[in-house]
Amino acid sequence: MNFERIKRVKSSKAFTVPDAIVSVIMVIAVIACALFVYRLPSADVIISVRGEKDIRLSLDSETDIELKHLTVHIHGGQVWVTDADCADKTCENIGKISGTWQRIVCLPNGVVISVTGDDDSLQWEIGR
Amino acid sequence: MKSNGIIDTRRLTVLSLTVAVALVATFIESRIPPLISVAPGAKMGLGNIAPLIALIVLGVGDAYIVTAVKCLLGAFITGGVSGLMYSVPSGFIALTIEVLLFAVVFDKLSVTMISIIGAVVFNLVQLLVASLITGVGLMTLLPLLVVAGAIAGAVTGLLTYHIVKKLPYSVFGSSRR
Ligand SMILES: [Zn+2]
Repeated sequence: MNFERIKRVKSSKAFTVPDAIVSVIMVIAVIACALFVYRLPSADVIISVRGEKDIRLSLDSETDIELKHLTVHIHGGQVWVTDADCADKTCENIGKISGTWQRIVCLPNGVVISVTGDDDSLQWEIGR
Repeated sequence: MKSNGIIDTRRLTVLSLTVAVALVATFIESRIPPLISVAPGAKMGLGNIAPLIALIVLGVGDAYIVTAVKCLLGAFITGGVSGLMYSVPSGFIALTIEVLLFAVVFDKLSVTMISIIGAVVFNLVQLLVASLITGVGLMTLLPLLVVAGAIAGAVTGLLTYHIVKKLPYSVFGSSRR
């Protein structure tokens, strides 16, 4: 039996001032880490026209790109298409996409818009 | 030596009791959904109360013995030898951190805080092992695991503190105080 340590524990406090300091540091570290980690999967939007011209933009780029046959909007981590001159309007009707497994296709104009990501864990779960 | 014999019996009793407590905690934990969905062997770490009690009441060597027994029997209880891949590295590294903290910063840092730090380390090692085994980047789980570790560590730390504080010296077999 470690009586010396038992005695020290008995006379110690459940929570100390240095505990509070370490706790605050840990909370700040977790928040900083969470902000960093949950921002990391910075995905890119890839716009491919007739399989030849690839435009690569960040999903965070907050821009509108006017192409010949349609306009691509990238805002708030979402991508969508308006002003398409195709007959079926499938590309517009898909609506807003944001995930790595989603894509917008405008067959008549040969435009494919996809989102790439580095979120391995997400892909892994989907892969199951 | 008679007194030695008594102390050894008490030591064995405390060892057995702490291991029993650890196994109950491990069993309860095995009923809780796994913390890391892709790593079924990874646990929250409530069973870490046993090495902590052993560390305070008995000493460093016995704390490592309890950790080893806890890992082995825990694998039998939960029926997964794969759990050893998580419990052995995380258990031993977390205990080593706690041993060092007790030696260096106790009682500036409380038992509660040392337990919290140990539990956070326990979870970080599990996450690292899970990343290595699955080859999957699991860093998105890091903040969640730190928080879960802090909660588990606070629970086991406060329990340990109050158990040691409330139990009279006679339980530990001393007539010297
Ligand atoms: Zn279209």
